[in-house]
Amino acid sequence: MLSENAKAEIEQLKGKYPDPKSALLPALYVAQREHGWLSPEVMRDVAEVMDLPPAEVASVASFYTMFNRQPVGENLIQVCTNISCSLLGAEHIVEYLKSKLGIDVGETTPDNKFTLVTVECLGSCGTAPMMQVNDTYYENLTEEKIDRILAELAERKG
Amino acid sequence: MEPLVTLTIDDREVTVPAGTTVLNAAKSVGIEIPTLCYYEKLAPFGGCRICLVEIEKMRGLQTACTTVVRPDMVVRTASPEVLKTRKAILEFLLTNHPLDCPVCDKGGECDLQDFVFKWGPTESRYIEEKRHKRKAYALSPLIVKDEERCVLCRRCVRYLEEWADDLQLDYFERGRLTRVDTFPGQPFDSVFSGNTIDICPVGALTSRVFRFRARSWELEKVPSVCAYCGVGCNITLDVKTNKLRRISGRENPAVNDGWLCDKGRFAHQYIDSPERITRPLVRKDGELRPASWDEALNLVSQRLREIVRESGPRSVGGVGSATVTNEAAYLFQKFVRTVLGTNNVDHLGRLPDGARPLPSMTEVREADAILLFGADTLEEAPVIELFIRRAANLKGTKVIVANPRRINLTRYGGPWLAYRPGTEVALLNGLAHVILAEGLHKEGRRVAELKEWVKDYPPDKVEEITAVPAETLREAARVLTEAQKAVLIYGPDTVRGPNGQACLTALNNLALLIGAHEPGCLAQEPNSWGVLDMGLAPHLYPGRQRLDDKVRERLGKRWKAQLPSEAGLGLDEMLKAALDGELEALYIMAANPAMDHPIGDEALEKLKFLVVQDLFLTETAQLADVVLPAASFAEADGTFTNMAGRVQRLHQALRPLAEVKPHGQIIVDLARVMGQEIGATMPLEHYSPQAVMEEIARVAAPYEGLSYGSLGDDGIPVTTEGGTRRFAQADFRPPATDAAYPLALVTGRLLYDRSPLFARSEIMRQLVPEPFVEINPADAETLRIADQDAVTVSSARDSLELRARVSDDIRPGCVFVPLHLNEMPVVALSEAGAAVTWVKVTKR
Ligand code: SF4
Ligand code: SF4
Ligand code: FES
Ligand code: FES
Repeated sequence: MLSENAKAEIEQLKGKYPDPKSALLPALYVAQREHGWLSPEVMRDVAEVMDLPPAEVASVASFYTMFNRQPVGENLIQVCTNISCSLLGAEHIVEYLKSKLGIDVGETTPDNKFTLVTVECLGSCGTAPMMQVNDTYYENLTEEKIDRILAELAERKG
Repeated sequence: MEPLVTLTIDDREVTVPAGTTVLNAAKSVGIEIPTLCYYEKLAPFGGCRICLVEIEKMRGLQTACTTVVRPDMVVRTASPEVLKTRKAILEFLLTNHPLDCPVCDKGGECDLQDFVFKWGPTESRYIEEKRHKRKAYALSPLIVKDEERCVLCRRCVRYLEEWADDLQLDYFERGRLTRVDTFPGQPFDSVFSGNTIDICPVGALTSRVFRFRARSWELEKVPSVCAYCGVGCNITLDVKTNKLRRISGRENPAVNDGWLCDKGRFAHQYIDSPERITRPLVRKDGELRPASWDEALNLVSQRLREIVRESGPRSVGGVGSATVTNEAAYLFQKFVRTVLGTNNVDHLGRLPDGARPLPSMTEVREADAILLFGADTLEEAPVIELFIRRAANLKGTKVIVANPRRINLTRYGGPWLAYRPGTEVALLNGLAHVILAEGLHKEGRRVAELKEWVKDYPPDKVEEITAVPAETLREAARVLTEAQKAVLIYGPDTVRGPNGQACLTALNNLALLIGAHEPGCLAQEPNSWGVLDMGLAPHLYPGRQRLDDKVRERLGKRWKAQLPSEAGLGLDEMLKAALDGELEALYIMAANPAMDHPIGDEALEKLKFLVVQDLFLTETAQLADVVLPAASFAEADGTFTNMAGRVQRLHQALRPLAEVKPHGQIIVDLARVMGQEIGATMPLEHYSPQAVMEEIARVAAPYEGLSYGSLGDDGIPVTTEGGTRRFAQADFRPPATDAAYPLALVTGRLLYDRSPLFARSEIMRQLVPEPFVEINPADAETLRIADQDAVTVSSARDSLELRARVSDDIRPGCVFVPLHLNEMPVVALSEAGAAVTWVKVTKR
């Protein structure tokens, strides 16, 4: 469930907008930051703090792909497969990640370290192919680079 | 007057008020423009583009449903460009549409189907695999969803937003994956869910109850009126092969405006219940056995006659109910008075004298402040709740709730006056006090006397008595006086019992002070108001005339009978007399006093002879010597008078099963059997409700001139005379307390309960909650009771075993027990006529 801190943060966010309802997107981010994903229970809590119908909260959350509605691993790998990245080998990057991690797109490794998904353009076409892991961009990807990134991430404490 | 605008649509000159949309301007001259997302009762949305039209000097096509007319506009609704686009939109809608019309319940009344037939392509160019989504899954036990059929018009969502103010459905995902759904794992359980079926333009939302029970074109449509509550919603009964297949809302702006609650829409399966009594039953060797009508009526006639002969007409009586039509009620009291020769006639749940009807629905909907005193519209008059929610949500109408229990409408913050039961009069006097003290009352009132009468109710003292904080009281007074159009509504129980008349007086004072319409009673039964007009009461003749000699003589002449001059007994008195052995026989029509009256059970058992006419073997019928099978509301003609005093017509839609007869017919038949033998003249050989209404129109003044012809489909309001409106003194008497029983019992109806008809409506009855007693956390803690604990609620009279529901929805010091939920009558806890029932709760 949403911690008291998160609730307080959302309350504060509400004050920032002429219509408190507008704080819904940042509120959902606060919730996701705390729980990694937006479970129905968490969305209910957000709805309560936001004083909105739960269905509306879930509706908004489902509109944006950046909100996870399934649990994800510690590291959420989002590989861009839009046009620029594709032209520069995004598909190969995806295949390589799949074989390295031993999971399919949309899956999470058994040790819960990595979740792999594909996304649309992340606005980093100039440095394609690229991926985003949690909040960090990794650009001009190659197999070697990926090996290094994964090794680093695997070591990091959860 | 709105300024007018003249424009040209399809070469025709059209003049409409400014602000009209092109769509409605076209409609006003009979030009059809297809619409999907547009719905008359919802704000325009402009999402589906099917209504595109061409407007000169505007680039591209415009949506007719959102474009407002301008002077000299030139609109074309059927130009080649428009038709081509319309066809393209329809083709596009169909690319992913499952086209399962042959198995779709909407088939035959589906807008998409009709539009494609009229304007769509005959062939699809789409040969790829269609998109697949979820089909035929339950959004609730009542509503079936088909995602593939949904055209994403958002009508359902907008309705829940704008009317029910309960956004249980919304869009999920986006793009081609968009779907309408509930919050994950949450059923669509609004009591207003069924309306979405009526407004969904396609078969994406369909009814579980109606599912596959007919094709729409096979249905015969019979206009009628809902028989569940006092709102009197207008409905259409859809019939095929003498079976009621479906109920849907019927347009009547003066009543329900087309909307229904789910009870009225879905809870009709009792009509086909195998538990219906289909033949007369007569008790032989202690058991009820089937008998012929002749045998049953002869027995009734003979036994009633014997008892009247031996013990006098005072020893018999009749108990009717406010669930039967005016015609049946009229005949019933006439039968008791002329054939049995007594004024011992009454009905269950009679409204107290002085109760007044609600102002018209229009006035309720237009109010800017509503005081709901001891009433819960969600449970007792749902469509009114729908209107109030919309007004509160969209117009900011203030809803002041005076109720020991938190009802849904408290969410509008209106304020909530959670008074202690029994202190109503003090609370109302307190409101008057504040208004007078702050000089908020309407000018020109002669308030000196009232000031004197309420001077002992300053807010602080009222807080002490009622537990309503002084500041909340002041706020309520302010909200009420700031309103331009305040409407005061009270529940019938508020004005019953020893403090009832004082409560009425205090409510009237308040209304007069603020210049509001007479306070109106939220009558609970479909014909609460009408049966009183029909004289189904010991002290009233039809037209609510008092039993004086002049009226008696006049009516006697008309009825060709010697009418009894002795005053009659009311229901309480009749049952008491039965307990004492002074009343020996009762004739009961469609009422269940064994469950609904504190001493009903014991009293009925004492009777020498009991006749019951009803649909089911209720607890009361099980005690009877003769049970007569009666028709449901859909199986007879008649009229109801709703809580706003509107007389509305029910049309017979079904032939009654087997040997079932309409209530009125049974009375007529019995009168005939008895008439031949006791020699009274009964001009009633055949039951013609229409002829009965003609007679009513002659003897009951407010109904003068009424006939089935004049009622039409929309009904007519009748006004019964109210008393003169002036200030009067309302005395508050503190309720007696009882140290052994420290908690005040609050009872009330739930919309979904175990009352005889609802409990036999197959699908709906799954929604009835388990019996419970609601107790405030503070009291629960003292009593060491946890949520869901098994507890005993006992009063000095009786006790009930229930589950505790610990919730601050009920104020401390009170417990709430819903009526009609458990097998034991809740009313048995109460002393008939006590102001407050005191109870204690113990853990089992
Ligand atoms: S379910 Fe029906 S009313 Fe709701 S959006 Fe879909 S088509 Fe429209
Ligand atoms: S509000 Fe009352 S009259 Fe209307 S549908 Fe519901 S139960 Fe029937
Ligand atoms: S296409 Fe990959 S970042 Fe723009
Ligand atoms: S009806 Fe006009 S856009 Fe849908």
